[in-house]
Amino acid sequence: MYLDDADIYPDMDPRLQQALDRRGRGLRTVATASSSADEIGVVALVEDVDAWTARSDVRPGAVVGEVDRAWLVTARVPLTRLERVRRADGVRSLKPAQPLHPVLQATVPEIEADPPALPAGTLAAGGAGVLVGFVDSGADFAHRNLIRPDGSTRLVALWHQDGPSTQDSPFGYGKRYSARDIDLALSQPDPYAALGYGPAPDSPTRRGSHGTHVVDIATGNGKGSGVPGVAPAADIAFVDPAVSDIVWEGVDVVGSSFGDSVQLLEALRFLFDEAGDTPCVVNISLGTNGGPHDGSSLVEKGIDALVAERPGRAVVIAASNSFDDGIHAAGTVPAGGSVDLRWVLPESISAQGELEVWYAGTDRFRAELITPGGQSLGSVALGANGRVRADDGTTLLFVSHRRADPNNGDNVLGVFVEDRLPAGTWTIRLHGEQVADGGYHAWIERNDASQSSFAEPHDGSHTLGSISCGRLSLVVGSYDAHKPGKPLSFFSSAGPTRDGRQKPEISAPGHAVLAAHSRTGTGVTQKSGTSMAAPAVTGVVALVLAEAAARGVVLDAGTLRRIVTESGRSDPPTGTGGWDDRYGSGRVDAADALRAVQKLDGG
Amino acid sequence: MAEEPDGPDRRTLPPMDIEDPARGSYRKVRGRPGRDPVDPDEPLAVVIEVAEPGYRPAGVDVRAVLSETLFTATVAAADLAGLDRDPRVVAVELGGRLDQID
Repeated sequence: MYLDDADIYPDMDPRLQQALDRRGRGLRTVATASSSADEIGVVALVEDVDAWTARSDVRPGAVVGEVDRAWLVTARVPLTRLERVRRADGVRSLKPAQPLHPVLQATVPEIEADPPALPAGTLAAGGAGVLVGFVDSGADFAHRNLIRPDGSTRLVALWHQDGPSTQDSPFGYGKRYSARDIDLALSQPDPYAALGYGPAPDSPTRRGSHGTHVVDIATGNGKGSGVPGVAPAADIAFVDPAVSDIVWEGVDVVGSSFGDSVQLLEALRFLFDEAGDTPCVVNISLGTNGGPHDGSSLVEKGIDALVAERPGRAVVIAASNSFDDGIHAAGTVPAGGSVDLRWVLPESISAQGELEVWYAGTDRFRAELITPGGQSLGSVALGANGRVRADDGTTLLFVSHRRADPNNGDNVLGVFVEDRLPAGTWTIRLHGEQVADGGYHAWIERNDASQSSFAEPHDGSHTLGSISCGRLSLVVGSYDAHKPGKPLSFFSSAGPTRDGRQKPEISAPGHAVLAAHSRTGTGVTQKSGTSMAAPAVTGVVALVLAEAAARGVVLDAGTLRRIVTESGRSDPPTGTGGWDDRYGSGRVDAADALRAVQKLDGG
Repeated sequence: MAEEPDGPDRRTLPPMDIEDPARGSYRKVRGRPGRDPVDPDEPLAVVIEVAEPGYRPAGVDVRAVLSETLFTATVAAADLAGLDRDPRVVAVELGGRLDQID
């Protein structure tokens, strides 16, 4: 046994250091009524309350009082930001605290979607006549917010892709439940057992299913919680590709996935087929970090094709939560020279680490790998592969250097490392053997238990998810609606795409959002993320589609996109009419979007 | 004095084996490098783009039609080479992992 150095800021309360150490080892804190599993309640002594509350990584609680010419405050802070918050100017002390009371939900009034804010003469009717689809985990069909006043379900269809297959299974797999199936289950004492499907129960690290929360933000009718979502009269369809929410907890999360891209396309095909001629918007909060980020993947082309298939369709995707993770790097390799990519593998890395480098097909780089100890393992030329094997023959490290990707003609370098490899800072040295362009972008794949990163300083640009760079999808960033300045969520990923297109399109409240808590019937729980922002926009799109349908206005994908983006509000983002790489074209505005439809109708 | 353990960054690794670039490389198939299937009969879920509207290569089990030139399908791993050679196939993308964005 020996003492190991921990790379944790030492001038911090030991209990906070322990929390960071536990997180680094793949352990998670316990979710409470006011804190998610990824954040911790703190008591802080700060010199400037306004500066403290303005930070996007601080969810303020209470100002307790003045102490020694500073202010004692309570808050919740994401574990990933603890060290930065502790080091911030004006923060004299930071101690772990008891959980705090949650802030109030503010999504609907903030985005001008509450009925008093909507324009006179609106025919949106809460999204009535529109089908809102979701691809997500855990739909609680028994939550009162998803049930009509007469007791019947608002879900017109539910496809559990991992459910028992039948002769009628969509595309040959899973189980489709009809509204009638769900209504029958709702009449039973245990509706989940009766249907054979339900959201996972709460656990020490997760309160409420993701899918139920998301559905409620976009379409909940408030009959249970008392607070309706954005489009409370819309119909709902849901596809659940997950085995279970449970696999998303603890160290077992590493290497697991939430379906795959083919299942996603089939989910979309299913939802749009269910809609038929009915206007339909689908909400997605899936993705990874890797990929070409230029819209050329076939899954992105597939999403574009389905949206373009007929008017009155949209797909809304969460931007991703990777801005602060240090997972992107970019630069230029000079002809005859080299550039070092410094990849930091944590001591606690579990499962594989993956990194991709994309560069122009007109260039030819050579990739040299150097261990944390400075040993060069050799170089991989364009078109070659490299491999390091353990004594037992298994692969410890694999490098693929592919020429001319079939979809965009660019070259791509992939590096895969096993968790048995030495931790520390690895170097991928890119040598410019033939350079016409020289530019490159690199991404590190997601690993929830022990995320590796590039060495600081980090470049948070180009951190949109792997399926969020298509041409017709609407991609949504997140800000904090509870603070006067509406600051960006520290995690909200940034654009543009690798080919320079302006995404995300729009932003919405995604910070500390209270919405339906699965398996409670009427309760709510709090979650944060761009996947809490995306359904707010999905709800707005449902209102727009309903308004258009009621007026006989045909909205193709381009027109719908212009309505959403041109009605975005500024300040923030700074200025007017511009595009911001995280807010997009501004903060979504339901009322102005509906006015735009009315104008198309001559209003 | 206790013996100081070797730090992980002190370990020496064997040099990389550089593999023949021509062996087993597909021009039109995009997947996750290093995750190539080894069982030729392994069924793979893929997205296929074709050049001619309505064209369906032999041996593929079409699952969902996304457009006239784009569809999801199941193919055997052994059939990837044939798809790669088919001039009417533009690209094949293996199903890729997706994580939930919280």
